[in-house]
Amino acid sequence: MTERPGGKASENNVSGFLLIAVPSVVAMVLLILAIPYYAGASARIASLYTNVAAPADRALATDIATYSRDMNSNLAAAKLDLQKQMQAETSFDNQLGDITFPPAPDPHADLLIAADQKRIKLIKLQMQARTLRKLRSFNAQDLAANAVVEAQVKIIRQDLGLPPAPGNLY
Amino acid sequence: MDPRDTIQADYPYEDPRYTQGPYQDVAYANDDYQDAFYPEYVEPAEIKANRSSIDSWMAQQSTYFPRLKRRSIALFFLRLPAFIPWFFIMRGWYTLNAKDVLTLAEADVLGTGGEFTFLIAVSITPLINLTGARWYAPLRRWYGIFFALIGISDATTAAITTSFSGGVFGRLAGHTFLVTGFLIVLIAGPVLLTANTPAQRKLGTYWKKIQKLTYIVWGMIVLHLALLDGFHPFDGPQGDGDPVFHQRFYQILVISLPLVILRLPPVKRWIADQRAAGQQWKVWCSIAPMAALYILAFAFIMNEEFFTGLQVMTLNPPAN
Repeated sequence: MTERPGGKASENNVSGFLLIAVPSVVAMVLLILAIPYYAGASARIASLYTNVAAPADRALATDIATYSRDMNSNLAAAKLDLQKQMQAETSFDNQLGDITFPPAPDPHADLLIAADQKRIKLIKLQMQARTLRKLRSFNAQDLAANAVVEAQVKIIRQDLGLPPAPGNLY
Repeated sequence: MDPRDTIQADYPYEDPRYTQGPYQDVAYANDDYQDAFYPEYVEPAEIKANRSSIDSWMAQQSTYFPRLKRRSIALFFLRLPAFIPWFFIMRGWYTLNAKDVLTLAEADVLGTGGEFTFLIAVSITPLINLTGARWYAPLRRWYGIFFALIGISDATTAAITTSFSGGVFGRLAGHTFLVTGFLIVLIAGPVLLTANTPAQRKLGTYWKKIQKLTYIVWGMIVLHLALLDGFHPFDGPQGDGDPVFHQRFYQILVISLPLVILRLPPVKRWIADQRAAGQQWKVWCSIAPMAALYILAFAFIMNEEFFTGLQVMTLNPPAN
């Protein structure tokens, strides 16, 4: 040990100890706070999901309603409605891809995106229709594609502890 | 004033056990070049006995590879993680930014890689202060060098591939956080160039002053991450439900806290006193909460490195 005056040594020792002890107490408090914070992760993921799903649902509900009206009378307007539906679905898929889900719903999120992509492809085909009758002929296929999407949404919502989607959307 | 209270005395670390012996005149006494300075030196038994038992054990020949010292084998494996960032980014480089993988994720891989190599480099001195063991001291120089090299490769890749407007200059310094990142690389340059034994010999006392630029780099990294993330993660609200743990600014703060504290002379004296009194457990108990936070933050940095690294390797970059 190197020499130093006794009084200063004990003073330095105390200050040395305090310089470790005080931040350690702060660190301990932060660690204690981290436990409930970590435990709340699944609720935050559920909230992330609803934050992505809610605006997509609102947009889709409007687009589906207007499409149901226009598919019988106005081909151009109906195609525009389908275009908007496609945009809402693409935007939802992109945002969903940014969420890291827990292990249980994670594969279903991938399946949901895949099902959505198939539905988008179908809508693209539907948009090539030249008559209202041809446009409406895709409706049965649309319903089948919707059912696949809804099945995945149902599982994801269940795993995240969320209530079923309003209007069978996201 | 106690001479050890100055920063000058703080670096290189002055352990009373090493004030006599073979390495006292060497500026970087605890680096792996020490044997080269005194190849014929035979350590006196008294000093040998005072050395940390783990150091003595590590200095022995390996049982299975008698030509190698245990320390050399351990250091070989402990040096390998420095290659992780380049390992992950390699596919992005040789596919020439296929699927915009470098545009979207190079900063996540090389930036985070540079950060973790730097943090390992600056963790070595506090770890020596804490444990008294010195066998891993060479990692300080190794990870310091790799930090600078990864930083240079990050800046070069960013200058070519990122999507910031303003050409090369805009991609390197178009935002405040980019300016700080670029300055980190520039300041790291002289530190890198002098991180070798010939430079150490030639520069004498100036060498230490140049190496102390590391502390400016450290401050700039904290500022860089503060400007990048602020109090919210850079990528917005998406993620895995733990945004605070992924917050880069918070991570570097909780990692830097023990590293700074363990460099303070009164703390070093307290630890040395406890060790001398055979009460090292008090040191471990008092540092444990900070160490736990340090490990937690480091785990999330490595999580980021592996998560984005695998995205680059599989050419499946994030959507943003």
